[in-house]
Amino acid sequence: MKAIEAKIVVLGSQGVGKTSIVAKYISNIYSKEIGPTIGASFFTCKINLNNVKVKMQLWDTAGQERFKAMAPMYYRNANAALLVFDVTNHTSFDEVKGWVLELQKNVQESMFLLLVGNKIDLEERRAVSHEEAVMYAQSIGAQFIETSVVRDQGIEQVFISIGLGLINLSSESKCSSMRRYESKDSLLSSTHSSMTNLSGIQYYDGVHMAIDISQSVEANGVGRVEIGGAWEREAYAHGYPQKTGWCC
Amino acid sequence: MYSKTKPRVENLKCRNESCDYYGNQQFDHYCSKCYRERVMRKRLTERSVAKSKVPAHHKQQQQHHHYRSVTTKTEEEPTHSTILIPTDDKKSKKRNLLEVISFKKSPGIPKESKKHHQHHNQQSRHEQPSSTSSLEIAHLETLKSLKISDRARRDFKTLLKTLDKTINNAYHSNESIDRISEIIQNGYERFKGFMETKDLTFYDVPVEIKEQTLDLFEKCIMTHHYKHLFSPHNTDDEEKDQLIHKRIRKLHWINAKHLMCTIDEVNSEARDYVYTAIMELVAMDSFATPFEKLECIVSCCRNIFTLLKQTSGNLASADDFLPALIFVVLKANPVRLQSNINYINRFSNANRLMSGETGYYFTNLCCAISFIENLTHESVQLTKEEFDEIMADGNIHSAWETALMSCESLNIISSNMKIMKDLNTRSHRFEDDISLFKIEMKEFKDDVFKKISSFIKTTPLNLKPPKTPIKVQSLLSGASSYNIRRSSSSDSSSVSKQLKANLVVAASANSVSDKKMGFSVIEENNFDNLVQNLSDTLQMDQVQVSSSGMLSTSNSADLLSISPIFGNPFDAQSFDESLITPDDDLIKGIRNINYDISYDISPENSLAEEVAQIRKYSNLVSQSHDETDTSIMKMSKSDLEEFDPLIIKDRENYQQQQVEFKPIENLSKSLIDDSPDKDFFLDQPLEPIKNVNPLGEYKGLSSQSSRIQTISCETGHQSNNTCQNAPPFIKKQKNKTQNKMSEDELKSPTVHLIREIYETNDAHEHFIAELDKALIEKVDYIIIEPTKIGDETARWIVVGNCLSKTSMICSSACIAAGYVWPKNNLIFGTLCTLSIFCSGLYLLSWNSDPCVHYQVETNPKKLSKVPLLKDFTSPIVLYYKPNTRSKYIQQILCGLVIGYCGYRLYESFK
Repeated sequence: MKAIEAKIVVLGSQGVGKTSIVAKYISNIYSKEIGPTIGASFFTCKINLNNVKVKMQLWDTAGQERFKAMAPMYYRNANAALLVFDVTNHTSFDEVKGWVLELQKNVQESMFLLLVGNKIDLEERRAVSHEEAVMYAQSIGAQFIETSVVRDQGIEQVFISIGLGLINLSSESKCSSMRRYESKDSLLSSTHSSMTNLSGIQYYDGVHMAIDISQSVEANGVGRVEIGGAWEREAYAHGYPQKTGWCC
Repeated sequence: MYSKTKPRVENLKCRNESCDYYGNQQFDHYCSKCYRERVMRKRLTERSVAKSKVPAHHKQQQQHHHYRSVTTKTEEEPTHSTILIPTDDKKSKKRNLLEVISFKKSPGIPKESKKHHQHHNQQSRHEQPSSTSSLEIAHLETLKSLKISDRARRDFKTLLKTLDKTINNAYHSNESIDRISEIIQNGYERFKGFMETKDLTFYDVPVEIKEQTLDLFEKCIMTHHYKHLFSPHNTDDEEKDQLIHKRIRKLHWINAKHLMCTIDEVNSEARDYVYTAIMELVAMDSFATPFEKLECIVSCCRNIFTLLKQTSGNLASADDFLPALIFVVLKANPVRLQSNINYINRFSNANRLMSGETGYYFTNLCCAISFIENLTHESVQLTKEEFDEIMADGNIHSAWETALMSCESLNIISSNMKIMKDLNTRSHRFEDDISLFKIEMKEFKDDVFKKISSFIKTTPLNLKPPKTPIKVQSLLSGASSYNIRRSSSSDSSSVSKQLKANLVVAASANSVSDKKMGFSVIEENNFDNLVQNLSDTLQMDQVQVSSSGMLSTSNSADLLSISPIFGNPFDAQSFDESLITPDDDLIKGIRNINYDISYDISPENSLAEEVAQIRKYSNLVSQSHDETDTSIMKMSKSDLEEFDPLIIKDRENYQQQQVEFKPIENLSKSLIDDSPDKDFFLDQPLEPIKNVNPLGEYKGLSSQSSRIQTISCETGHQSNNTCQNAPPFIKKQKNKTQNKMSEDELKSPTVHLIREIYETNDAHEHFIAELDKALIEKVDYIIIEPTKIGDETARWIVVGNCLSKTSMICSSACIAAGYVWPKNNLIFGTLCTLSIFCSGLYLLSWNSDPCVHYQVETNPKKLSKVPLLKDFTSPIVLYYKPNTRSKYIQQILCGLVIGYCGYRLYESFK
């Protein structure tokens, strides 16, 4: 089985819900598990997609303006970036644009970008329209997903599409920093158990997601995976039949 | 620390006069820097002569010692920034041994168990980096414990040696540190590649073991070369260390608020976490390998995360974490921070830094350092002026002073916090108590209301006006009938009739609830007389009550007392309307009324009284006008006694009178016990005030007064209280009245009911017992519902009657026959025998039986007079008819017969 290991950096202004997206995802996964995670700023998870094991490391960044200068340290060697903005706050959207410019300037390697519009539960206070965000996502070759942590909407999609994007990226061999290796299931599981002891981060194989993603997708049009410029439909088309089987 | 080792400053200064640093005995009283410079100069000259390994090693040592001197100077730091300094002699001695031990498989080294090794490792964690030899031995042990083949181990050592050689060469050829870093990184890569190459020793080793092996490889290399490669002399690491150290010292004033981080500095628990994190960060310097240093960083960060999670309750985000880490770094001020960072950066396996949790934390630490280096007034939410001012002030205060001050202030704060907490809890307790008290008050109020309402329920304000007027009427008519019977005065019957008529009119008129109107309708003198008498009596009684209290000693029949309420002005007025001399008999009747009213004061009147009333009404309706008198008289009497608890109490004293009342009690009891009736009682609503006859008014008031009395006394023991309060004169009254009643033969019939209720298995026995009781108590009427016992009793009585009569007839006939046919012994003898037999039988079986006093009532006309009879389907009614006379006659006759018989026998024998 092919396996890829990738670093994903979460960028966005303070208070847009970067951490809460990750924390929600963690709580969804670990709700049944015993060991509590201590922080949501660093998080690893594994997703099986298209017969490829995607090991993702999410690096949360401090969104405060005063820490902006340190951001390059975080996104160094990142394979994907999660650009989070608050749909009720247009400034956060503008700041995302700033982040993207910085990434484009400082990162030479190809990177998978995922634009996430959070807090769509506050539809009445919406400041960034869906169309605007989609247009921007297409212009930078990113995907766009709208999420709501409160309603648990689109959270799963974020991680699935990152996984798919990373697989796509690795298959195109665009990204040299991404670690690719052939993995044997039995070996991996033992590795993980040892690493659990080592790092305190838990890996789970064969645990089904607590949330039925199809349901949240069908709830309404929002929260669906949008097709960005660099994205081919075929790349994930055969990923869908697997969605019940994938796990983290 | 500060006070202990405060030496004289002059002697301690560096021998180089231009130098500000302190000197050290080890360096010939030079400071480490000056000493090193001297040595360097010396070495440069030496190097031209011969190459030696030693200087490099020495250099490294000097560096350490220069640093030491620096720290000596800055000794007034908080304790946590003390560093563990390599000791010179040990190191140099072991130095030469190291290579031998670590790179040759020495059979002399004992094989230690893995556990032992771990223990050793734990120890070494807090040992100085210099004691690398022991560490290297430990690493070798780890290598042994790894689950790899001996060949793999050999390969491992070969590779290690190769790399070591390369590094040594590079180092001695004065290669730049970056070059060495590259070599080491390449060495890692090569080793990794070697492990993953097919057909080699490591290929079939699990990934896990591979990683461990790689870690061990790194550890071995770095432990060995720590001395050369940590903060090498050809870099500016040391200067950077000092810079950052000074910078942090300058920023000592920064607190959690400035950084907008959520750490609560005052909270002791939070402080514990911060201290642990600081300890870990400081301990980083004491480890030789980047791997272990990184572990320290991870441990430090984990502590911060735990702390943040405890403070916020949520999973900590980077937004919270980074400021907290900066805070910890600022407060820890770890020694050789930059050197450590660079060391890790250069020589740690690059993969580890790029990714994984360790990498993340390391990145964060780098960010924190970068933040501290570039800290401006904007970063700490201050204006430039403020920032500059504080920075300037910060130089004045030493770190130690600040630490002391902060310590003191922290102490004050924590003590204040304690006091505040105490106050807070106290105020909370107070509030709780208040709320509790409020609740209690409410409960009390509710309770009182409940009690009152329950009292009102149990003793309702049942102004039952129709009752009293009927009593009055009945009593009046009873009185009138008494008049008719006793005085036989010509006009009294007409008076009584008139009275009755008037009362009826009054009742009907007052039912329109207009008293005045009622009185205006009643204009006739006779009634006015009565009214006058009433009011006179009442007033007199009132006086008596007020003068003699309970009137318990009063013997006079006239001293029938009444509740003071009866002296109500309204009543007095209403009664004072006419002035006519009272008729004695009427007064008696009125006294009965009084008694009646005062009886009503006793509180046990609610349900039973209603029943009685209902019965009364039904009787009233059903009976003819003439009969009404007697029946009402009877009922009023039963009414009197039915519910008075005192009757039972005083039974012994007044047994004669009471005997006939007792069954009524039973009656009332059985009435109440009866379930359908009970339901009926309960459903009976309060009767509206229909009649406002003056006496009715009294009644209502009196009952009310009794209620008031009850409440004013102890709550909850209503009946007892009233019993205690009311009894004396009621008792008196009752007895007197009874005397009077018996005198006047105005007895109302007492009735005992034997209900056919099969509650238990021994119901039949119960009936019999009831019947016996009733018989003994000599009630007027016994109504037996159970057919079996009724029939038996009736038969028994009939047989008894038959025997008695037979005996009498026989006796008479015998005596007659004796006279008529003195010689005819046959007839005489037969009759005599029959007579004696019957009398004997009767005497034996019946005479002592109380039921001989009763007869079975069969006359329908008389039956209709029996109260309460309608409730029964086919009752046997026994009425009291004392047969004492017939008994005596019978006995006398019998005696005569016996005597005569004896005489005859005597004669015949003579």
